[in-house]
Amino acid sequence: MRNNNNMRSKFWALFKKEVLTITRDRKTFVTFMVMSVLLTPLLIAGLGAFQEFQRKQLEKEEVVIAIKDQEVDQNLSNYIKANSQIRVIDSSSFEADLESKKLKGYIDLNKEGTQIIAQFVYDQSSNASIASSLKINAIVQSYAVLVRQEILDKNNLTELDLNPVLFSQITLQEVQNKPSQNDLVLLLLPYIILIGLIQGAAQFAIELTAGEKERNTLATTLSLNASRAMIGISKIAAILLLSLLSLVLNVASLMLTFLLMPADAFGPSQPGVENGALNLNISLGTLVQIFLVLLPLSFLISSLLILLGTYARNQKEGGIYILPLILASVFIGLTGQAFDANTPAGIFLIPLVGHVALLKQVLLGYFIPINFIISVISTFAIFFVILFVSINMFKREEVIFRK
Amino acid sequence: MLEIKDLTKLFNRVDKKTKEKSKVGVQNISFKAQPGRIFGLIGANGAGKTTTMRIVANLTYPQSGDIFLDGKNYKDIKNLKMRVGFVSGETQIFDRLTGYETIKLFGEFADIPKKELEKKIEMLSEKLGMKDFINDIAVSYSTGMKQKVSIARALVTDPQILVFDEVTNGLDIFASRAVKDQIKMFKEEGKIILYSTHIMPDADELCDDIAIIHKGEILDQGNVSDLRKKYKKQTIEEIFFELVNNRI
Repeated sequence: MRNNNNMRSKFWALFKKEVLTITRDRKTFVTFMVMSVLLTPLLIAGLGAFQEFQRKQLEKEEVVIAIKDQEVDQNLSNYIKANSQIRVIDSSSFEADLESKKLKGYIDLNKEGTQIIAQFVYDQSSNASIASSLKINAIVQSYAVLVRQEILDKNNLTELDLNPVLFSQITLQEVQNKPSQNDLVLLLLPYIILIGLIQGAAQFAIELTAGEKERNTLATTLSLNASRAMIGISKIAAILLLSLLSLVLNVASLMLTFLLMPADAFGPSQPGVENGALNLNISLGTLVQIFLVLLPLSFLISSLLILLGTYARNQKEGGIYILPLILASVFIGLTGQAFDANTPAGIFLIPLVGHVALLKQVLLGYFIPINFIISVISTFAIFFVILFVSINMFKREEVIFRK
Repeated sequence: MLEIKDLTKLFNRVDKKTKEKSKVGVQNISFKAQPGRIFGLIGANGAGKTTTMRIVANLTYPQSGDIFLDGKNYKDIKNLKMRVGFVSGETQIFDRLTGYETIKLFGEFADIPKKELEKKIEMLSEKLGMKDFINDIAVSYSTGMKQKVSIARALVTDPQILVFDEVTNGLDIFASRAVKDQIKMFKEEGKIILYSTHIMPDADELCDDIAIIHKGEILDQGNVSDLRKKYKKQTIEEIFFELVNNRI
């Protein structure tokens, strides 16, 4: 019993040393914290503000267009000319005038049977031309509504007579009043979670392993009266803590991003969107389930990062070894859309991919215990293999002392 | 007494330019170090000094051979690391911990009771002149300050053996003097001291016994004054060149 307490207090002392090594590098640690939370929302907010600024600038610009074959529908031509935001000029060479920026675009009018075809030609290389395309489209559509209403009135009909069948969609979860997730959340959340878990911890894992070699402090650590297994495990535990911290920060960042995102980014009829704003339907229960899914994964990732960092001669080399893992996590994170509540059990045997599938199921409101158990067993089996290799690597002097 | 018997540890090395493979390390080396005396392991860079010192400090393990401490095989000694203090010029202290935290960490691993440990750190801080900086984070330390903390963390377990591997490398003249004075003091305390260096005047000043090591083999060893008489040389440097040149 006393021996166990002794081991625990030694492990705690070593763990504390590793955590202090990371957190006392104030600049790096604070930058990590701040950037993890603020970078994505600031970029999104900045992008939104820039787009809004650009839209307003374009709105101020006068839309100069020409209409080819106006006589095909003189009423439409007059309707466009009557709009105060549009100036219609004559042109003898439409394409040349568009190319020389004299025109923002031109409408080519044609008639097929009773239908008028108004094709707007615009220049893809000019933002002003693209914006004018949107404006002209809105004007032509409003004209079409008027004509349509005239036809309906003439024939004594209503909109309902023309649309006898109305199609709409609703999720089973909404019918059952269960939380319903936005598609964007279902795609992004597993991705952000996975990236957050790996990327944040990666740099610190390199610091605690290859960094120790570079700073010549590894021999100092080894001269402590501690087994190499304990030294290795304490490093894994410190990285585990940081990967979980990184995860929390990244999820907080995602939530902040959604808050700052323009309301129309999600579309009006998307599930999970209420009054144009995103409602993250994550209950406490779902959060617990997400944590349960990620805990074994954090063990696996931490041990893998320590293994790669230990093998590396220096931090630069460590960064190169870890890069494929980060890139793989980016792609695997995006595989989430391929999974649903009926994903075959075999998928859960594959680390990372299985975790993304589990996260997707949890977010969809399906926590399937057998899938979870398969994932936990597979993850811990691989974790123990990596742990074994990591500890053995700590015993190999050609690895520990190589420079 | 510390007895090293037929110690062998070889590494494969590939020459970056010629791609030639060779073995480096130490081969069948034996020597004895007595309490209250300084045993110097003298050799050029790459001679095998650090490998030997690391084996004695139990940081790395030999492929063959044995080490005995007071007649007991290293393999049979529990908590061996607590009985050996290792200080190296190359090895650094944890630069994100304070000197106090580093020494305390080593004390905690030696199972020293909390109050006793605090007293010990206080005493070491006084003895090695660390009071002014012991609570600062080590990143701000000078090389001399770091070396003092290194020595203190090696001493906190009150080890029987002190291993100093190239400790004066890179130290300025004041720090180097302070370290050498401390080593002399530990000798007076009756510790077994192993001191490796390629700086011959340091060896002349400190060592009672020496072994000249070259390319992993001990060329000769013994009491310094006996070796001076044997080779009719005044300094260890002259003895070293006599032995090494004969080999070439």
